[in-house]
Amino acid sequence: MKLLRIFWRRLSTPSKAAAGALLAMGFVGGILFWGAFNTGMEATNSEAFCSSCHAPIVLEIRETIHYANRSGVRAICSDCHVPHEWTDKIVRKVQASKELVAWAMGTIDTVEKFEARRGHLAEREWKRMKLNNSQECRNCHDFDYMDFSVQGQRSVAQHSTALASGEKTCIDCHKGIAHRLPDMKGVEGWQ
Amino acid sequence: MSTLESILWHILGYATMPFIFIVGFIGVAAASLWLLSMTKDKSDG
Repeated sequence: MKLLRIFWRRLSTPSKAAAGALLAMGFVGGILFWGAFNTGMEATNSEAFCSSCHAPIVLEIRETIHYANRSGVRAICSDCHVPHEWTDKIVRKVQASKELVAWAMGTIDTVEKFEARRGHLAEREWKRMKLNNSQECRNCHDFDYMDFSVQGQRSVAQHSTALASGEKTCIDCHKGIAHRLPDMKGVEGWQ
Repeated sequence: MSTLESILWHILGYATMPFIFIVGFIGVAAASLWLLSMTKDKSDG
């Protein structure tokens, strides 16, 4: 309490320092804070951080084209599972506090527990991606620049119709693109 | 996630944004005051 009073008194009384010095300190301090904050945010977007709880599923991506391919262009966990827009990202990070509770309770701390919960976790992500029109896919895969002449027949047929019209979004068909699928019984469009 | 849960997380998430800026300001202010206290703004008591 005393510290707060001292702090407030210092803030509310004039300083002997030059205005320029005060402004410069605020400016530099603001840059340092913003840099530190976003560095922290990016640290929680790293594959190593995600692996600390989600190791089994992070390993699965190594079997897929998003991990290694001829061009070397790849995606890590946050590219698909964390929104890129700052405001949406903050909402997701706040929501992740619920996952800290799950971590503390050991909800998926063994492979068996994870496998039992795989379907539920997959459904949540599919629903999230459906709701935002597969925005994380579209951050890299721009429909307007798809070259249909180098796609397979089935891809052309689907991309030029259901995807183009907006009837379907990426995740409707590309479930399991980066991770093994759960039991797909009862999943819409996967009979 | 239900619609209600989604709404609640969005409210919390958007409320967090000004909180981040306020905490940042307080942190920078505290650090700046500490630096100043070592120089021109030395307190007398």
